[in-house]
Amino acid sequence: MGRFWSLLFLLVPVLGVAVFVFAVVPGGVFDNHWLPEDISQHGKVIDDLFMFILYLTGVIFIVTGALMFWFCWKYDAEKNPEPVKFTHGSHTLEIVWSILPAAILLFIAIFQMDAWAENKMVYPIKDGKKKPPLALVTGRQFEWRIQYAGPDETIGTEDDLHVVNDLHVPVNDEVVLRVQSQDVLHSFFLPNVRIKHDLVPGMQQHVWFQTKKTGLYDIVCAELCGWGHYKMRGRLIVESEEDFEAWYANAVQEQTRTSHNVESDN
Amino acid sequence: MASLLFACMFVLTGCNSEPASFQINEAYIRAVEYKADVTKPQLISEQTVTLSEAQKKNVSEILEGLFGTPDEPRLPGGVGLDNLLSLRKLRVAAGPVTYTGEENSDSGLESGLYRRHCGHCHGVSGDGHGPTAEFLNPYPRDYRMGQFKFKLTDGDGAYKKPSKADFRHLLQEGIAGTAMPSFRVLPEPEREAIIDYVIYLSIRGQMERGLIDEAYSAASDPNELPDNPEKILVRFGEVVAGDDLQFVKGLLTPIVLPWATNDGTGTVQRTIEKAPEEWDSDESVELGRKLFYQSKANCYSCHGRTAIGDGQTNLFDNWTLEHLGNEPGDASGSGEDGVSAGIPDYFYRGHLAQIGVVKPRNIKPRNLRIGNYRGGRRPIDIYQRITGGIEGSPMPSNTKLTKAEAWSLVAYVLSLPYEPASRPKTAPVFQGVGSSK
Amino acid sequence: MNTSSAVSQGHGHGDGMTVSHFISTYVFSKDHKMIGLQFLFTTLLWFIVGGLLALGIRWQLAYPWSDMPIIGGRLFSAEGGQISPEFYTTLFTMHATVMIFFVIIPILAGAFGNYLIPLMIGADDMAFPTLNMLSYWFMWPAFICIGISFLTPPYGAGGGWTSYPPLSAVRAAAPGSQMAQTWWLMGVTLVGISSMMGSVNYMTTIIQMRAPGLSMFRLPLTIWSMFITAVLQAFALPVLTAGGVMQILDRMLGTGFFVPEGLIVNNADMITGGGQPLLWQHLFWFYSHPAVYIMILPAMGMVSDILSCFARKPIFGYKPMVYSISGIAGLGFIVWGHHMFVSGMNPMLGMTFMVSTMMIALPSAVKVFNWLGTIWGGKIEFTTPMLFSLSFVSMFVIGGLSGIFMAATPVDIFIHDTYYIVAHFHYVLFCGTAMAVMGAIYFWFPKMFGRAMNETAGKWHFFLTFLFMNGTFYLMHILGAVGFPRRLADPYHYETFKHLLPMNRFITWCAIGMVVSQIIFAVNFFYSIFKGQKVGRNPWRCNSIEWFCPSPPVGHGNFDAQPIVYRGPYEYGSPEVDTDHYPQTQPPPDGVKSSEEVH
Repeated sequence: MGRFWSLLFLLVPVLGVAVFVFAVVPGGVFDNHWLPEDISQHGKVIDDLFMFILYLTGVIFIVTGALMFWFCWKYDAEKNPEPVKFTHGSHTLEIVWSILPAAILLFIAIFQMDAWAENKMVYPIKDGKKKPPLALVTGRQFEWRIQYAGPDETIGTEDDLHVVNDLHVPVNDEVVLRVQSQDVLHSFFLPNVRIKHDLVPGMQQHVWFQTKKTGLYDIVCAELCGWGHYKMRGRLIVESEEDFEAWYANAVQEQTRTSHNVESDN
Repeated sequence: MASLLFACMFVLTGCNSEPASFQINEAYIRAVEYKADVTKPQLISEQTVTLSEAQKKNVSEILEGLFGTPDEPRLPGGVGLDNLLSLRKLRVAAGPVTYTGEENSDSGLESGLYRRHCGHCHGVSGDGHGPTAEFLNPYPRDYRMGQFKFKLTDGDGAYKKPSKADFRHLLQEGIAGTAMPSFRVLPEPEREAIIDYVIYLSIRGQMERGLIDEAYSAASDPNELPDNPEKILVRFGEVVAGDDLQFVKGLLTPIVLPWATNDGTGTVQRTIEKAPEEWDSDESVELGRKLFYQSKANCYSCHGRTAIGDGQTNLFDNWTLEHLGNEPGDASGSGEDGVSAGIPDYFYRGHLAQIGVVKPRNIKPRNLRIGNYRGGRRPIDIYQRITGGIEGSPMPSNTKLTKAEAWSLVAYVLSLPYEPASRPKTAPVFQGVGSSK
Repeated sequence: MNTSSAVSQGHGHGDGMTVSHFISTYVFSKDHKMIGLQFLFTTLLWFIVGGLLALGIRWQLAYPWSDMPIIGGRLFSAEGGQISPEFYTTLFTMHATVMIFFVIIPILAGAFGNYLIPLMIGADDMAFPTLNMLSYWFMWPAFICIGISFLTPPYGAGGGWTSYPPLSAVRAAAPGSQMAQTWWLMGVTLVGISSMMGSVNYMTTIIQMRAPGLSMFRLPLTIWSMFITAVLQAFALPVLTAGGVMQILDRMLGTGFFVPEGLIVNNADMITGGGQPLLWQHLFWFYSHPAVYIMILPAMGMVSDILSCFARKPIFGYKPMVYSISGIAGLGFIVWGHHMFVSGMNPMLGMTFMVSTMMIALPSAVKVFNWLGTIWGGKIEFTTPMLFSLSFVSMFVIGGLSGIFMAATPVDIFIHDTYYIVAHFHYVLFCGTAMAVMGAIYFWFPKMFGRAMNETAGKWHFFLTFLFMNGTFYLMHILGAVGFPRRLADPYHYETFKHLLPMNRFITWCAIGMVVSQIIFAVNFFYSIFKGQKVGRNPWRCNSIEWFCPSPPVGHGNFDAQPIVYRGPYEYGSPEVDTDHYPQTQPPPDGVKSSEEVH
């Protein structure tokens, strides 16, 4: 039976790697079952880091899995006539397999600090000063309330545009958003932009990103906020500068409507 | 060993539940009984007249014959509904939820839309008492009274049914400051199907009330009523006798009529003429402020002297009033979480909880200084609230103001959140990462 | 549970059991073995509850908003069995709570720790038998509190097992945030008290009551891991208990530890403010990160013993193994922030926690290499416990490696709160710890009950569980890579995740298969208690001390005579003797000195 069990353990690295290969390579049964489309400028760093760690851990996975299979196969008591290799360990090996992984892990840790800083710590600068936020995104149970700063670039004045759930942003432009929560913890997750930041009640924070492709993408809430956590779907609408201005003007007009004519509205 | 496995299999395949079913409007039955008790102390019998189980069953059967079940809706014919609602859309909205890949073959859409998106708050029967409802503030709408708050159809002191355009706008924007979300992410055909279904539930609910009224008058005054509802059996569209069909039509047509105006296609929103020039000037805002405190508009009496909504704290909305059996204003004070202390807990627990009514809560006038407008923040929305009122709530429609005065009030209301008084100094907000200050 | 036949062997009290005697023997027993068995049976029952809750979650993800079998009709009949969204929040909250606090931690520390520690160190009982009994019985008020929380609307607490405020601290914030959440917090606090009692007991017993000759570096790794785990419990739990009490105060008395001012939650009236939500997260994770090591270290220790026994070979690198356990525990106190990288805490902390989190992978890696070194060159006997232990190593590699992705903060921005995390912790907790626990049950069952479990049934149980659990949890890595979020009742509401339904369905059916396979284990377990093949003292031919008392050990005092220890527990295949194992308590042949401490 030892042979059978060894082969079962061999299945682990074999199938384990196969699943990831099928997922990463487009097409086939796992088509579109991998990282979603990345439309951001900085997202590539994250994706590359993900893949690097995947390959590294993949190698370790295959090696340890293969070793486990090989040892189970070769040292099966029913099939192995040799006496046991009576040893309590090896100093040399312990040193090698302590130092080597430590070095690799430290390398990964230090290597990615830049990417982290860029995403969370380096606030965008425009014309020598901090770029004002395009909008205030307030998470509440269970929707995204968005308040555009408007032409005066100040949030909280009378020219602000109030929108729910639809976040329009211009493409190819660095967008800064102020984010807050009105009630409980939420998390502002844009899968296609590789942005995630918890909205903490009592704190106003900022997120920033730059997109490079137009289209319609999801905004997901990524921190449990109650029964309607799943309902907090928003839409990120990335559009050209002209389309954005056109939409903005239209929305402001709708928000300041002082007449209602049935024929033209229904 | 084998029997143990078999038993496990049985448990694991699960005992499937009964399909979803409409629940009879017990709350209304109780309200009718209670009201009759109070207003007609000289009843023929000693005790309060109640509907028998057989009568309740009859009401349910008639409704099923006319409107079908939550899984299989029907549209009664010959009452003017054909241009208003589409059975195809109802079928898409009704039924158990199907998921991607198993679309309803008729329409190409998924079905079960209502139960997927709306049912857990608004209830399978549209009673505003789904499983989630008791945890929400404000409660979800009970469609069965046929009254709706936010619509552009009211005017001239009269409340009209909401138009489909109103429903569309509501699904698009949600209701700010409540648990009613914006459903703009749903494709338009799905939203249309849901709108039809909501109107369907409302009409069904109103018909249910009518039938209960009829059943109750038959029960309480058997000598007078010629058509005894206990004889009416409309099984699955098959009418037993001509008289019975007339009876049913006689109840249903007046219910449908206010919904299906405009050649039966539905109500139409009113036209609001453009606001006068300078409607939002400083002088106009100042005029609005004066009007706020005068008796012509009488805003301050409910919204409070400082417009933060503390003028009246013991009012109820229509949906709650019905269950209380009290006269408006009887219950006094407000307890924790807005539950009126005037309603004894034993009354709630003993009566209302049993018939599936959410815990009664006062309706508070809106705090106008926080910039949250449930019915919409457009000037025309505020204008509508002032001139057309909010049906079902104590906010009245105002026909005494002139157009210019009404617009001045609109300007005042919209300016309130930006007044210094509305922005008190608070502790500085903790500026997180990358603050721009 | 009738273990009278097992325990009363050698009881020597004759027949005629009075009521008070029954109570002191089986109910309020101070005997560590009985307490260990009490923990074992109770936690296995809760395991079933937790597993069924998981199936509820999986059913909703496979057939969203459909009629949920068995429970839908009973709780949601008007809706045709369709569950409500708040019920889903209680499903995942209670699943995690039950599994972590009522299954894994008590079964490792309470069941195995209690049963094995005195036996493996040659003692008659724990240092504080009364405290030991109290630590079991303090679990029952916790069970009752959580039970009550199941009954309050909406059938349980719904704030996640992490109970983040303000959702959990403000009663109006959610269904499942009302009285159910308070009961939940009280239950968790009581479990904490029970664990703290246990940990004090274990530390004292291991330090003070070892048999003569049993130096610290001759202890089996099971005992080392129980010892270090007890240290973790003692130092980390008070923080959680304090945090739990603070949250109860916030909820019930309106204090403002965690709730900031100015909130508008569900239009509720006044909410006291002045607090910080992040404070809870720090307090909670300061305990809960060491908690995850509490949940893995004893399993690692037991696996080391089982691997060595069935490879018939000493453990490879005993001292490095001990240092690794200590390293994991020590480092475990300075990594808690990796649960909070995107939480809004100062991103500088993101850097520091990233470094410490990367480093904690090192001792775990060393342990994996040493396990491989243990089976290399051995004579491997593929018994059921050995299979579970081998699979522990294989599965722990997967779980550990996936952790590296999360340690990388930029990657964590994407995979935080997705199914990647769920895959990671289920691999270490279920495919790792739970498998090790099952292996440990098969291994020590003969000692506990004097009878063996059926090997064929055991191997079938292993095989089916192995297949189904990998089918269930491996694909969750793929889901996580797509960004599939946790805790969503209807993830198919989103364009990005709509197409993932077939994969979720597959996972659900594997999960159902996995739960059904446990029936084999349950039947085998209970059947063997009464009708299993009787065995002697040392059926597996092991070295450690517990195999030299009767199976099962007598009620008062465990050993025939005070054991004296001459060597470490891993002398399998030693050239000093003819047999392939060389028990710790066997005196050396004349003229040969006792073995040096094991290296």
